[in-house]
Amino acid sequence: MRLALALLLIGWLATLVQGGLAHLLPGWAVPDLSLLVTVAAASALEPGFGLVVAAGIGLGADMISGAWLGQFAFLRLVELALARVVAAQLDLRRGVPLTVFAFALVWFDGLAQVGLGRLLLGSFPIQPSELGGLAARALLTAPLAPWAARFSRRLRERLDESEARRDMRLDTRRPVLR
Amino acid sequence: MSEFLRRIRLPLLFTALALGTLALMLSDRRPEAGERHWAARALLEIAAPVQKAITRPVFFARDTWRAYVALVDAEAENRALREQVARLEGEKLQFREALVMGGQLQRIAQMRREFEVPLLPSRVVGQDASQWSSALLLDRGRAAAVRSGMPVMVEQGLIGLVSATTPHAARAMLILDRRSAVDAMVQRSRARGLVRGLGTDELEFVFMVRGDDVQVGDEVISSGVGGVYPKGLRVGSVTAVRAERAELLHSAVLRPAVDFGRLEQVFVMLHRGPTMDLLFGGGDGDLPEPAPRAMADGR
Repeated sequence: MRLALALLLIGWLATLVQGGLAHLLPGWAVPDLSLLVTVAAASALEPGFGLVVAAGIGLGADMISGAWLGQFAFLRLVELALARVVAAQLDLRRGVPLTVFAFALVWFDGLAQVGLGRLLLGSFPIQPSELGGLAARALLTAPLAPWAARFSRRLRERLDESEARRDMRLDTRRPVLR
Repeated sequence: MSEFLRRIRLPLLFTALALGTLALMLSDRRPEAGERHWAARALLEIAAPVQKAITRPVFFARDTWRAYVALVDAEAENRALREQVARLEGEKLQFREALVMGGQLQRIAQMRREFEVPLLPSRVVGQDASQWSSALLLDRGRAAAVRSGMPVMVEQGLIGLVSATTPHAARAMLILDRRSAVDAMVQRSRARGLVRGLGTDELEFVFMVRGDDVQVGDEVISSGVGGVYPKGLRVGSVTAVRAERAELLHSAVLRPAVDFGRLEQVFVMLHRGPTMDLLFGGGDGDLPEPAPRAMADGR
C-alpha cells in the first residue's frame, strides 16, 4: 500500500517535471517520465494496485495537460496491462528487453493518442515530422526504463514491509553451515 | 464462488477502470461539460508552483548569461538602436502628419478607446507534456480576474485562449492545438478564412477560392468575427499556398507570428468575447475541452 502511494506520488511528480521540461526543451526532447513510472509500477506492484496506480498517474497527467480528462488514465491502464502481459513472455527485469519494450510502448502511447483523437474529433492529422518527434522521444525515453525499474525495486525494498518480512523468513530457512 | 470471484477480480477491476476512464473522456468532450472536477482544479493549482520551481533556476541561469552577453554587445547595440530610434522618430512624425491631414487621428483615438482592454501579464510556468496537444500553464488565475475563454497574446501576436482556471493558475490552449480555430483574414487583401492548428509549429489557413487573393508573405490577422478573439491580432504570415484546382476551399501554410518555443511571459486580455460569454452564461466555468475547433470561432 505504501509503495503504491509512493509510486502514485512519484508518477504525479514525474508529470510535473515533464511539464516543466517541456517548457525548456522541444517536445520531442522530453522523455515520457510518467510512462516510465507506469512501467515500473507494473513490475513492482501487485496487479490490482498497479492498475489503480496507473489510472491515478494517468488522471494526474490528464488534469495538467490539455488532453481530455480520462485519456491518459485510459492509456496508462492499457499500458500497464500490456506490461504485465509482456512480462509473462519476456524477462522485463533485464535491461535490453525492458528498453525495447519501453521504446515500443512510447510508440504505442503516441499512436493510441492519435487514435483516440480521431475517435473523438473526427480527424486528427499528423505530419511526418511529428512521427520523427515521436521516434526521438521513444529513443530518449527507452534507455531510462531500466533506471526507473531499478529505482522502483529499491523503493520496494525500502517501503514494502511485508516484502522485507518475507525476505527475513526466507533467510531463516537457509541451510545452517556446518 | 469465492474462488471464481478471486479469479475474475483483476479482469473485473481492469474493465471497471477502463470503462470509467472512457466515460470520463466522453463526458469531457461534450460541449456542456462545463466546469472540470475539483480534483482537476486542485492538481492544476498545485502544478503551477511546482513547475515554476522547476523552470526558475534554468531561466535564472539563462537570463544571467543573456545579460552578460548583452553587456558585451551593449555598446554596439546602443549605437544601432539610437540610429534606429532616430529613423523611426522621423517616420513617425511623417505618418502623424499624414494622419492629421487626413482627419483620421481622432477616429483612430476613438477606436483605441473602444477596443482597449486591460492586459494582465502572466508568466509561463509550464507547457503541455503530452505529445499531441498544445497548452501552456500560466501563473495567474481567477484571483487575478482570469477567466476561461479570455484571449492570450504577446506583443508579436495571438497565442490562444484560456481553457481552464484555478485561483492561482490557468491553462491556455495554443492556436497550434488541433482543436483550435481562429476566424482570420489577410491584412492586405482582406480575404477571410479560418486558421486551424495542426499540432505542429505551423498553422493552416483555409479560405474560399473565388476572388480570394492570398500570396506568400501576406500577414494574416484575426478578423474579430466569431466573438472570441478581437480584431487585428497578428496570427502569422503565409509561407506557402496550396492551390488544388478541384477543391472549393484552398489552404495556405502559415508561420505563426509568435515563437511558441520561447514564451516566458504572455498577456491575458481581461475581456471575454460575446461567444464565450454566451457559452459560459457569464459564469467562471472552464472551457469544455472537446470541441473548441467548433466553438473557438462560434462556428
